[in-house]
Amino acid sequence: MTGEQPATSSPAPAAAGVPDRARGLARYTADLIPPGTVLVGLARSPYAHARVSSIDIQAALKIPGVLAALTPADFDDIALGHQGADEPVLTRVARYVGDGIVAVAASDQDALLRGIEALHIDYEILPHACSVDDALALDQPLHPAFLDNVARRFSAERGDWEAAQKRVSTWVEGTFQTQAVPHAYLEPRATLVRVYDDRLELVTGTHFPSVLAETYGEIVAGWGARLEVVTPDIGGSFGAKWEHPTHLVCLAFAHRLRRDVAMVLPRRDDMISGRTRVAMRIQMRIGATDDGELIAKETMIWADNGAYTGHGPSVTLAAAIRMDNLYRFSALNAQAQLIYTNNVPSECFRGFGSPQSAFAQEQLIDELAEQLRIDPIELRRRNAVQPGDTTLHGWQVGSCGFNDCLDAIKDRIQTHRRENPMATSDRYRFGYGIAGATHAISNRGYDHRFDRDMMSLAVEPNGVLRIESGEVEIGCGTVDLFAGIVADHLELDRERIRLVLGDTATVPHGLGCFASRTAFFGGRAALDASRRFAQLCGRLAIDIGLPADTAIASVIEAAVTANRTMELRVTGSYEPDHVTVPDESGYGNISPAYTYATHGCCVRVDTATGLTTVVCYWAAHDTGQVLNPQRARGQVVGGVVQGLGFALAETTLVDDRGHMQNPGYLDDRVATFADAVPIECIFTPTFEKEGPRGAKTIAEPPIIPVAACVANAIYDATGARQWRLPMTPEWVWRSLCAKGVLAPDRTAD
Amino acid sequence: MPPAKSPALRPSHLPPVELYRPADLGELLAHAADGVHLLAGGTDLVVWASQCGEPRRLAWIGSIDQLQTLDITSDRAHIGAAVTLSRIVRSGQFRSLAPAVVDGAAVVGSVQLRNQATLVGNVCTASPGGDTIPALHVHDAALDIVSAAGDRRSVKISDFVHGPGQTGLNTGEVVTGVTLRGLGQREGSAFSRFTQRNALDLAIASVAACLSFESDGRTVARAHLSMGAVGPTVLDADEAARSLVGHPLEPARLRNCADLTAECCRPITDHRASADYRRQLVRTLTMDVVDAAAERAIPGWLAVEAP
Repeated sequence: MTGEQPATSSPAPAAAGVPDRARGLARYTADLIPPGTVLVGLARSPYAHARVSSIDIQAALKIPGVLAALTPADFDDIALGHQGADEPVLTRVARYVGDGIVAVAASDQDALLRGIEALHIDYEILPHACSVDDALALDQPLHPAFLDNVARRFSAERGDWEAAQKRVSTWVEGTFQTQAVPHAYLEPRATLVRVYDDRLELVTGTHFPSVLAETYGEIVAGWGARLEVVTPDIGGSFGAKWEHPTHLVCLAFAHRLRRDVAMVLPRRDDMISGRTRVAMRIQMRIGATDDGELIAKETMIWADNGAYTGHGPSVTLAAAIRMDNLYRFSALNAQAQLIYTNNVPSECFRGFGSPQSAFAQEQLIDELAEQLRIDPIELRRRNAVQPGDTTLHGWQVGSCGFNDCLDAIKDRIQTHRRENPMATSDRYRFGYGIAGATHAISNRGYDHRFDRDMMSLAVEPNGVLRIESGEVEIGCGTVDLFAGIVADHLELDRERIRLVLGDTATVPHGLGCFASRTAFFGGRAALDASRRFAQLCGRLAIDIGLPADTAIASVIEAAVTANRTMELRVTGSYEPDHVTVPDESGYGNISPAYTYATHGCCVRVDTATGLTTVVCYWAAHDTGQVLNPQRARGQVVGGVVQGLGFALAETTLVDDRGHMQNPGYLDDRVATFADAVPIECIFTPTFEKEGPRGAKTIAEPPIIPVAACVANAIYDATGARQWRLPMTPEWVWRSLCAKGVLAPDRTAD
Repeated sequence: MPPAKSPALRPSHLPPVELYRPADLGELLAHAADGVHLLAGGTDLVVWASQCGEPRRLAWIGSIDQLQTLDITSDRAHIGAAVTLSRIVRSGQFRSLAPAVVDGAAVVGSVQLRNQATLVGNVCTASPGGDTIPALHVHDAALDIVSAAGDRRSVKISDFVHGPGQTGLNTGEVVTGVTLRGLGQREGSAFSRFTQRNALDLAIASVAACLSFESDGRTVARAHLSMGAVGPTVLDADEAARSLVGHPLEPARLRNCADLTAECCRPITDHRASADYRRQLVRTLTMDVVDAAAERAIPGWLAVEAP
């Protein structure tokens, strides 16, 4: 069974949830905290690496308003992290500046701060490492089980490397450094726990309510309590809001005090203890024949896991191999290691490792094109993966519009060049760049038990159709597509449909909003539920004495009259049958379909300051059929602007003691509206037979090629290759100085 | 005044504060004498209070009419301590009198911040990178100060700011406004700064210039250059400015002047930029603002080839 014929009408008009956000009506976790709720705060380590030698909470407990304190001893048997299980809730060994040591609960904020200040914690300072090189050289393991500080190693060798090497006539190579950036969601982490007898209700903005319910549920069961997770509106996440120690601290206080408790992280705390993109050093070389056939690619990655393991292992493996699937290589060799450091723990982030590897790969493809004297778009076109291919990593390519994306960008750049003769001067240089990208939809390797989605449809006594989904509205309006698909399939009025989301007590299981999967998996589950519902309506119609082909709306109306709405309840699901759990090297068809993109841009580089200004940006995406053009465009524009921040400005700066120097948006320069650039979104539609109504997905792909695209444009403008992110004005200026391309009277001191 | 040092890991939280709303200057002076902090736009003060837990006693100056005045005559302007940056930016009259100050006021923070923040507040914060300060230097601005006893004094802006967060304001004294010199005939001023983002950012280097020409419309009669974010306070580049005086503004002379500013600034290396990059920016900004000031003095004048 496939995802059905093309959509005949646009299934999703104006967003139900998004205008609420725009109008300030969304209610985030912090908005739900009633006055009088117990407030929770943490004493954090000021040291990057230190053993806690003693804790004295007595003075703090004497402060009026302080209700209780928790120490590492209260959580000794708990370690968080799906892929590492190495993060204590409160720690006896601080592994980064900001690691939580003691938690305090108090009746008001002033008492809370005084309580935290009254804690007495002694530390024995240990040597620390805030870079992968320092960590590899450190003779002290950060985690006892990992003597060399290597948390994970990956190796993926495909094809006949020896034979392939012999066919290579030209190699290009480079070492690229990408940076850790915070996810920069607007809503800091916030947690509210409500207590109902033996049931704890965790209210928090997460895109994985059922995952949290499962993980924390087992822990809470050990306390003799039950857990449900409720997700209110989420103020952004981009991959960050999984498990977090603060959730368990709040659950423990609520359970112990039998009172509702809450914790909202101040921005600075959120940034020093939140998560970041996995920083990577990527050493890569690519070999080709003289006539431009890509033959072999070799990748070595040193990835910074930070202090604890989030999804760094999956991200690192993805960075090592995923972008390979864009071209028809003959042989591949990827080695990667994920290294513990005393930095903030890393986590998955929109793009899942591919923005990092694209920065390396797509620049090297351009290098190769220059050396072989082949147009960079033509070189990509000749080697592009095609529909029906099975890549060396086992990806079974269904629909693939990469060539169309390349053609669209070629067309835009040619037109722009023709219509805008560039006023290149000594000081200002103009250049064009392109970069390609591919991405999976969901990841069969994430949960080895299954990768599926469920959706229930039920008619309420008044005839309103209720959709229940375990998926989460994360702010892009995605779940509204579900209502659109159901309304369209059943020919129902959208006003008569209600979405119920985000409470694990009432909705069916959903794996969560990650890996660009929600629209695809949820959309297919919505279609399946709609089909089942239509069948049910057909049977009920006959039973009531109506023709079997009576319109669904009329059957529902008849069911209301006959008091038989309770019979109209179905659950649909989607679980792709041709995906495989990848092996340790990442081999496998991890996704039911794959997306493709090409970006192009024109930049102006001010050689006197190194400032790069993006003059024009084009983003071409193969996302299958576009179900909602406005939303899809929103994702692309958002991804590109976020990508420009990653490319040009955002970073995490750490001083030699391991303190983050820029824990705020003043110095972590996420792009503002004033930094947005003209972006043209181009959809080059394919029809993905596995997708809902031929659609694929658009969430993550738009950020993947951006840094590489801008880097290639800077090179085109100046001749200075960009090896390091972010490409800040100072860094670009230094690369120009090194290259000697500055105007003669403006050279460096 | 910013706190000397914020406790490293104190969560940011605005404590409950006592807020006074004095109706006139006398009341305000009484509060100031009592150690109450003055609250103007609050765009810096509220952030510090959240980070440090203090000050907890504030007196808002916004309801004192006298401090809301923006007096503009043919050759000078007086800006009251409660006048917001937005008001300055929107005043066409003020713009023609002191365009460099408007250049600086227009880039502080964001629209929302400028609607709240005051020019005098920007000066009293005494940040080396304060966006209005270099322009106030080249417009020979002076702070109007009144003491608890009612004594008035006027302090040149270059004497007023002593270091990062440090001013020459004595305990109990209040800045009531700033007075500056307006442009004369064949005179122009400009300010430019370099930031890595187009909004909500701080300068990593900035330069202001004020330039007047002889009646021949070519020879520089007077010049004043001032640099921000490249020293403990805003610095005047006197030698560089003098190098322009008495000569036509030719490209080689302008380049030489830019080199002189880059030499005389005293930048530090920090997480925002390195010292030598800041020097390079000062050099570039000097060429840009001298050019812009000359263009405002003698429209149509272009000393160097436009980019």
